[in-house]
Amino acid sequence: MNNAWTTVTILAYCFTPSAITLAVLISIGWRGIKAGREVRPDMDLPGLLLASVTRGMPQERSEWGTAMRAELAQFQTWSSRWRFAMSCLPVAMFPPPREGMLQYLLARQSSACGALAVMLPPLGWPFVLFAAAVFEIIGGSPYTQDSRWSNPAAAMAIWDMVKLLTMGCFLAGLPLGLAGLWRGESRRWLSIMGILSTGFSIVWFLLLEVIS
Amino acid sequence: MQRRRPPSPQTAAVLLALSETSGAWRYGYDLCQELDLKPGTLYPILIRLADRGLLETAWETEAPAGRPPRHMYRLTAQGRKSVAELAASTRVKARRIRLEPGMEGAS
Repeated sequence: MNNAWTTVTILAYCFTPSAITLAVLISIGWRGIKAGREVRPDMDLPGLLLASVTRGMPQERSEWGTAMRAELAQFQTWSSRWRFAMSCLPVAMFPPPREGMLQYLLARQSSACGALAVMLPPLGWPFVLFAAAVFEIIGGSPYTQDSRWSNPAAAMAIWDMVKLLTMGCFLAGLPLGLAGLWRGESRRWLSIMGILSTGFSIVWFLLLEVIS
Repeated sequence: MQRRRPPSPQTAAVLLALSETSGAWRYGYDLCQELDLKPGTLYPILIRLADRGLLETAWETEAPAGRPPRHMYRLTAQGRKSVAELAASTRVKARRIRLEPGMEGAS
C-alpha cells in the first residue's frame, strides 16, 4: 500500500461509517417523524422523535416505550422536552435484553445478524491490516506492474478502484447492521446484507492480495 | 445459575427511593427529579427491576383529559425483601469498616 492509499483508507475507515450511519439514522428518524406528523400534527419534534423511535421497540418492551412517551408530557419547556427525549433514545433503540446477552442474540436472529454486521468491520479491520502488512513485506502488489499490461497506469487506476469498492463493501457492514438492528425482524435482510458485504470484502481483499 | 451481583449505586438509590414510599405508586418523572437521574439511566434500571420481579408496574387509570395515562411503579414483596437485604448488607459493611484495625478513629 502506498502512503496516499493508506491515508485514504484510514480517513475512510474513520469517517465513512460514521457519516453513513448518521445519514441512515437521520433518514429513518425523519421518515418516522413524517409518519408521526401525519397522525399527530399537534406534536412537537421531541415528541415525534421519541414516538418514532419507541415504535421500533420489541413487542415485550413496547410498554416501556409508551411509558416514556407518556412521561414526556410532564415536561413543558422546549429544552427539558428535548433533554428527556434525547436521553430516552438510546434506551428505546437498545432496550435491556430480558435474558442474558447471549440468549438474547441467539433468540433473535435479526438482532444477532445486526450485531454481527456491526461488529465485523471493527473486528475484521485489524485482520485485514495485518494481512496487508504481511503481503507488503512478502512482495507488495506486483500485479499492476506486470509487463503483460500495456497501460500500467490504467491498470493501477482499476486496481485502486477495485480496492476502493472493496473498502466500500467493508465499511457498509456497520451502517447496514445498525439499520437492521434498528428495524428489527422486518428489516433483517439489511443486517444480512451487512454481514455478506463485509464478509465478501474481507475474502475479496485477501484473494486480491493472494493472486497478486 | 442466577448471578448475585450487588446492585449499582444508581439501582440501590432507585430501590431505596421506592422503599421510602412503600406501597405508594411512583412516576418516572418524580424518580428522575428526586434522584437526579437521567431517563436514559432510570428506565433501564426500572426495566431490569421489573424483569427480576422486584418492581410492580401499572398504568394510571384516571388520567386528566388530553394527557396520556402514565406508567407507575412500586416495589413488590420480593423488592421490599431485596431492599431489606441491601440495607442489612450495607450495615454489615459499615460495621466491618469500623472494626478494621487502624480505623478506630474513623467515624
